Amino acid sequence: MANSDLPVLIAETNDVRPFARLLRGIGLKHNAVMEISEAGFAVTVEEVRTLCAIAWIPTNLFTSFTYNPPSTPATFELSLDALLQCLNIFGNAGSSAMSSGAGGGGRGKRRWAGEGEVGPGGGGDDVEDVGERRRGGGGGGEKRTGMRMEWKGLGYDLSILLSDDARGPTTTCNLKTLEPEELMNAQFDPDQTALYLIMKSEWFRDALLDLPPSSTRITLLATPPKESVPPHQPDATISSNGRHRHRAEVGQFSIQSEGDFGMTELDYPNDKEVMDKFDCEKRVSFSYHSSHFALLHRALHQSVKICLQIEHSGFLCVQIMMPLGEGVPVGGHSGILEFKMHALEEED
Amino acid sequence: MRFRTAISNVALLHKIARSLAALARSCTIRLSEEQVHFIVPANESTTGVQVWSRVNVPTLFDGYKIESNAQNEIWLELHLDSLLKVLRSADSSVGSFNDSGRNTSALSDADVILKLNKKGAQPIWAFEIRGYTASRKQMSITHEINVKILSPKRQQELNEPLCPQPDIHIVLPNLLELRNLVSRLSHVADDVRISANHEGTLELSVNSSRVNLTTSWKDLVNPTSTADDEERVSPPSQQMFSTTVAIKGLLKFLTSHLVSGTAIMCICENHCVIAYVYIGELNETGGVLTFFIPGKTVDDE
Repeated sequence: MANSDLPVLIAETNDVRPFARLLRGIGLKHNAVMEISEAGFAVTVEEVRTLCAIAWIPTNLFTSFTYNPPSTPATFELSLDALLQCLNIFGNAGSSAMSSGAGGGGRGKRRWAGEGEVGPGGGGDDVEDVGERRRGGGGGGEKRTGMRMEWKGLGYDLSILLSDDARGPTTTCNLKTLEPEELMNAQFDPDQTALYLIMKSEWFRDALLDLPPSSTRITLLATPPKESVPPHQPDATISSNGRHRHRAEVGQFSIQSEGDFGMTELDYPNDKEVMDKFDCEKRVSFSYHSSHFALLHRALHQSVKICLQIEHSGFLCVQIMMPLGEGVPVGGHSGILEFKMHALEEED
Repeated sequence: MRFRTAISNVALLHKIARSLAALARSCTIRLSEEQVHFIVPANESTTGVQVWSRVNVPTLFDGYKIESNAQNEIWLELHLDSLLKVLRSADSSVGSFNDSGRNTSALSDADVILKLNKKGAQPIWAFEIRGYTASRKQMSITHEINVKILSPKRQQELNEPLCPQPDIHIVLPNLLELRNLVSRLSHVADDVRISANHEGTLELSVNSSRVNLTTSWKDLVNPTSTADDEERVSPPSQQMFSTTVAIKGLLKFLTSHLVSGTAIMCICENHCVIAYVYIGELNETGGVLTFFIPGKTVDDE
């Protein structure tokens, strides 16, 4: 209690983009639960019983991070949407070159701060201003928004001071904090792992883009190495038969989805240039809701690697790793987004 | 009633029309010997924002001739949509559009002549665009848009809104940057409270159930007050004067960033905000667009 006069948190950075990027990745609901610790922030968004998304935001994204542990856990609920609006108030926290709306399974996709920003009204008279707006919205601009975040403690607002250059305007935001809703946050049990793989985000992201937008189910399928060769397809070419043989030999991961106009299947053989790691004991196949998968797309933006794990029960955990910042110690990270969801019931 | 002129600054007229089109579907234009007034009265605009602007004739026109029975003034009303279509074509023909290749079928190096004509009983504005085709052949295109001549009675009904003496004047930051910021504020709330003091501080605050947000500028210029102000007792320099306005209304005014980057705002506390957008340099201004943005009454908590 000796620290009770000090604010629980003071965090400063001179570029809010990495912070905003992580938050935007889990932007699937208006409200989020933020937990502060010595390690940084853990921001959790939960869609009741179906999907849980957590942004692990390490302290190394901040130039300074002072945490004074209070007597009660430093956890509160706030409007994630509003927080992102605040961070992007000068237009410098937006995602660069975001292909908004083009995401896989675009249903129910909402706009978030800085994502394909369009002024209100959106009338024809705005169209000609797009070029000017892009200048401010693009991540490539020289202007950076700096931030100082402070939280005095339980019952106080989260206050954020933002400015983009010394002579420019400053913005102060006071975000209302609420008592957090109880989280399910089912834990992934590493002892129950049926599939564990690490691959480049790009590969996975391209796959999500290719999935038919009309599909509702996405099936993940993994076969371990040394599986029996699939039956010879009479109409297949020699090279595709060879490919099948090779994949059966090394093991493969595939994503399947059926839409109104047919079936899409994307195969990833367990080759060195594809998989960084591929642990699979026996054949695994589980299906997930495609609208939940579509949410991964935004999270994958600008990430480098994903780690995908499935429990024997079908419980899926996808961890998305952001590129390492400068001076991050070995074993550290510059932000991880974690998505967990349960498998759908098997179809007849 | 005669009116004929060459439009020397098509680009500027185009920008003015675009700014006005953000506010209303039609606008009133009062042509006099010295000045052109663009008027969007309150009943025309959805947000209650009004425009009463005056532009000196030489800023826009050349070879300007006007004659009428009413002190050589003509008042007319027209649809901004049709005006915009003509000006877009004229603007690209004059070649002031930078992006070449945007409209290869348009003429180039054109002159634009504007005449008031009559087609049967319908008064029209005829824009004659005379220029060269891509193969350097001379060609002229005439656009005609319907206008309505305002009767003296209707003219008298159009009155500039009466406002109390403004509490404060302040030079706004760059209008484009301000517009971008305000459009982001519009995602947070519907209304914004505009405050300023005599130390050059300007604040925009929005409040919602989720977040309170204030953006402030320091060291802006408070223009020196005009002579008639001096009798008034000057308030403490740090005292803030505020008015709450609809963000939508403020954004309509900020569309005028097209016309100019400089504007002065006055706040009549809890009444309205008036913004003067200057065309050309402040000291030798070619005209000014005046926007009246009505204040909203809010419950003081």
